[in-house]
Amino acid sequence: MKGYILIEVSINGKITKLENDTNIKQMINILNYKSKLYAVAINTTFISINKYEITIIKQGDTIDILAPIQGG
Amino acid sequence: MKNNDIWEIGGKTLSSRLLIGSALYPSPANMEDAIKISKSQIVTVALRRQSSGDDTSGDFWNIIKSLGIEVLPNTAGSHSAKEAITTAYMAREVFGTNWIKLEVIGDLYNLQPDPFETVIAAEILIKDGFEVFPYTTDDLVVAKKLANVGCNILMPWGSPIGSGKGLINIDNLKTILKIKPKIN
Repeated sequence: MKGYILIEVSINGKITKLENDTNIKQMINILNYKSKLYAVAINTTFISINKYEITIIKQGDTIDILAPIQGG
Repeated sequence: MKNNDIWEIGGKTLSSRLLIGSALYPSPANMEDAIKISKSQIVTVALRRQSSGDDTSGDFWNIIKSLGIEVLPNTAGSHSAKEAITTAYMAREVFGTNWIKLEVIGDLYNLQPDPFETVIAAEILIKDGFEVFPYTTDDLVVAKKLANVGCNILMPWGSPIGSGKGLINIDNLKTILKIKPKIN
């Protein structure tokens, strides 16, 4: 049940607590991302934007949120 | 390149063969000026982890978009086919292009690409609609394998990144062009 259990996940290398049953869209809102320029991977698997609401984050997940940067 | 030359690459027709990087400029304005003055029509870009309070990537991306040229995202930092494929998918969503500069590093000493992982990743990405620009060595057999899995373009190194040695095995590069004359 959402809201009663906290899970620990890694977000961009930082251990973070989230409520159980949180999906990616909710996680992004909680993290208060201002820019919409990012892409998400969980446990090194890409999650497309149309799957944010149906992808539930689980205990121990490793989440990467990447954004544009200069590169060569 | 002559002024009236055209370069057909990755489904685009360009008038410049110069690719330019977007990193290590003193300022965003300096980067913008350099890209404009170069008249390059392809600029390389990348992805990195972003914290929630950091909105600088939006500024950078807005400058690049305003230039109206092609962007070539890379998979820098990848050490396996799996990592590179994930980064490629993320880049396609963020940058809105199916072009990807495929970089799978095999050795940190000289940043030599891993040919085995690069070929695996290239084959999977091409099947999923990417136009793959693989960073590779000047090895003919690797070049042939990349071409055989569908790469229309190769980006063989002239020498290890940052070595400043220029083209150290130009015969190898010429051999690749001789054996695979249609490769870009």
